[in-house]
This record gives sequence, C-alpha cells and structure tokens, in this order.
Amino acid sequence: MSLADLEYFACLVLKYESRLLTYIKKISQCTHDEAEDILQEAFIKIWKNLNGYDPKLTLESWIFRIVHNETISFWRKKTSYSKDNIVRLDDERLNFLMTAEDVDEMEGEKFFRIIEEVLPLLKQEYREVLVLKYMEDKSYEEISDILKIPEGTVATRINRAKKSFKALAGGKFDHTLFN
Amino acid sequence: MIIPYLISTNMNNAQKIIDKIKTENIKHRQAWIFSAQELMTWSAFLLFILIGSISFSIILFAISVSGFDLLLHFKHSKMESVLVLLPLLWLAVLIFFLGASIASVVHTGRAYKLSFSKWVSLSTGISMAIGTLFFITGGARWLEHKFETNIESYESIQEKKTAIWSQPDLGTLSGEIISYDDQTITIKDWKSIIWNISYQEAFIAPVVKIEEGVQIKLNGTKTGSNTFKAESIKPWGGMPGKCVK
Repeated sequence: MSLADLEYFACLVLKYESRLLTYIKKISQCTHDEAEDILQEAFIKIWKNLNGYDPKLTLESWIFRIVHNETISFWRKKTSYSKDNIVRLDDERLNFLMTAEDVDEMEGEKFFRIIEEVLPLLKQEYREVLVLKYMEDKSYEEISDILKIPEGTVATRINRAKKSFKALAGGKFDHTLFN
Repeated sequence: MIIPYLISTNMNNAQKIIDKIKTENIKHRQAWIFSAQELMTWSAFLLFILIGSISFSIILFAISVSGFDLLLHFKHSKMESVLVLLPLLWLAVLIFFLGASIASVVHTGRAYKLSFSKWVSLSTGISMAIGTLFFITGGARWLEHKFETNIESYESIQEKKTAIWSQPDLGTLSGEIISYDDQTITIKDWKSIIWNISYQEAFIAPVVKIEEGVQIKLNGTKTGSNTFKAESIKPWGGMPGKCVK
C-alpha cells in the first residue's frame, strides 16, 4: 500500500487540510470558500503528480510547494481582475493600524489581531516567508524547497520582511516578535 | 476503512476531493513523463552550452587571427574598432545560447538551490572552459573553415582580417613581399596592387623574415598613391592570405 492508493491519500488530505487552509488564507487574503477551492485543486494536482514527487524533499515541503503555487496562481488571477478592491482593503487595514491603541493595551487577542492586520499589508514575497517561518515553523531549507528559491534568498527575504513588518506595525512588537 | 470514516466524521473537504478523484477517474501522470521532462531539460541545457562553447572558441580564434594590438593603431574610436574586430555574429550566438541554457536549466528539479547569478556564472564558465579547449585543439579553426567553404554568404574571419588589414588610408596594409632592399620593401597586397614601403624606422617583429614570398601586415601611414611608411611590421600569421580578384 502506498500514497498512490486513494485511502492513504485520504489520510494525507485529512492530515494537512486544516494547516493548509490556514496557510492559504494567510498568504492570499482569500475567503474561506476560496481557500477550500484552492486546496481542492491543489490536492487534485498532488494526486495527479504523485509520481513526480522528488524524495530528496520532505513530503510536507512538496505538498506545501504545490499548495503555494496554486494559491499564487489563484491570487494573481484574482488581483488582475480586481486591483481597485485590493487597494481599498489595504487602505482600511492601514487606517486600523494608524488608530491602534498604545502597545501596553495590546495583549493576547489584540496582539494576534495586529499580526492578522499587518500581514496582508506586506508584499506577497514577504508575507509568505514570514508565514512559513514563524507560523509554520519551517527551516530555511524547507522554505527554500517550498518557494523554490535559494536558501540565501530565503534569509534575505525574511530579514526584509521583518523590517517591513516592524515598520508597518509601528515598532510595537520589536521585543516580542520574530524570536 | 478510511473513506467511510471520512463520511461518518463529516470531513466535507477531504471527502469532496476523494469524490472528485473517483468520479472524474483522475489518474496519476506516468513516472516516465517526469523523467523525460527532466532529461529533456538537461539535454537542452547541455546542447545550448555546447553551442555557446563553439561560439566562444570561434571568438577566441577571431581574436587570435585578427590581433587586437590593432586597437593601438586604429584611428577610429576604441569602441568602434572593437566592434569591427569582434565577430559579432558569433558573439550574438554566444549570448543567445548562454541565455537559452540558463532559461532551460532553471526549470530542472533542484536548480533553485543556486541563485540566478550563480547559474549565469556557471553556464558562462562552462562555455568558456569547453570553448577554450575546443580552440586549443584546433576545432574552432576547422569549424570556421567549414562555414567558410559551405556557406556562401558567411564572411569568414580570414576575410574579415584581410579587409581590416587592407585599409592604407586608416594605417593598415598587408600582402606578400616581392622584393626588398635596405630602405624599401615592395609588397603585393591582396588586390594585387604593388606598394613601396619605407621601413627604416619601423619596428620589425623578431619572427618576421624580410625575404621574398613572406606575408606580412603593417601599421603606418599612407604617404602617396602607392607608397606607405611602416611603423611596425608583423607576420601575417594564421592561414595564408590570398589575392582577391
């Protein structure tokens, strides 16, 4: 029995489904329904391309890579049709940040709320490395395999993403974030 | 059984995916397709590198034949002179196939482990190494000769060299020595025109033997309709020059 058997494949879907849904939503700002559609398409691709799996990669990295590509592809199609909407959404999020209360009052839920609000403001390439590194807890090598970029580029992007994040968050989390 | 378990636990998403695979009878792509794609991409990379190498070797050959020391004597701008001397066709071929090799290799499975700039350096380095080897072993000369004899519209490096070294107004002249004395050499250029060369103050390359039948190239100044004052005399070098009708 192997992954090529549908029953085992179903186990794989179950194992990764919720994590991947969260990942898709974090990097793309899409709705839950859209994320489910993306995930479905991604798993169909994974099924189709099982024979192309490179065992030098971890299975998880390979799955994340396909889901990532599918998400980016969906996101590009979407943004090319509705650029005005995106700008408006970003403006709203920026306003939220500008009026956010003092850092001392921001604890617990609010802390994560700010992260939720800042992430979508970041450039796509920064958002994805931060999500993979700090939310998915991936190593540089795994991120390199998922995004298909050299590890050196991963490190550079993470540094720039952190700076960009801190700038957008108004320096409120320097001491707690990205440890 | 896992699939009934999915239904019973209301795992809609997973079940939808499994249902879609079943109802649409979606199959795996065959393993050989992936292997073939990888093989084709690597083959294309190697082929493009090889063509780039050949171009590079012919460029080396052109440089060795034309002699870039001409730059010191040209009265045009340096850039213009370089463009005249370089075999632009082969330079374009080299650049194109280097680009093609990089474009193909970045699509191979693990190419992303190296940065784009590293792939550029690596491809260029490999092309230069193979090209140099091809040049040293005489492959470039042989190939250039094949092009010259088989492609009518192809301007060979030898022809180009002849044209470059047959511009007395611009300070270059070449041909075969037909007579000489202490003060003057008489040569017949490639258009069979006879020139009297004054050479008392000229630098004569040690390998040049001033005697009848020797082919030479000269830098200097045209002093009359068929007279030329030489500043330097060097051997023609490379393949023997031929008179042009």
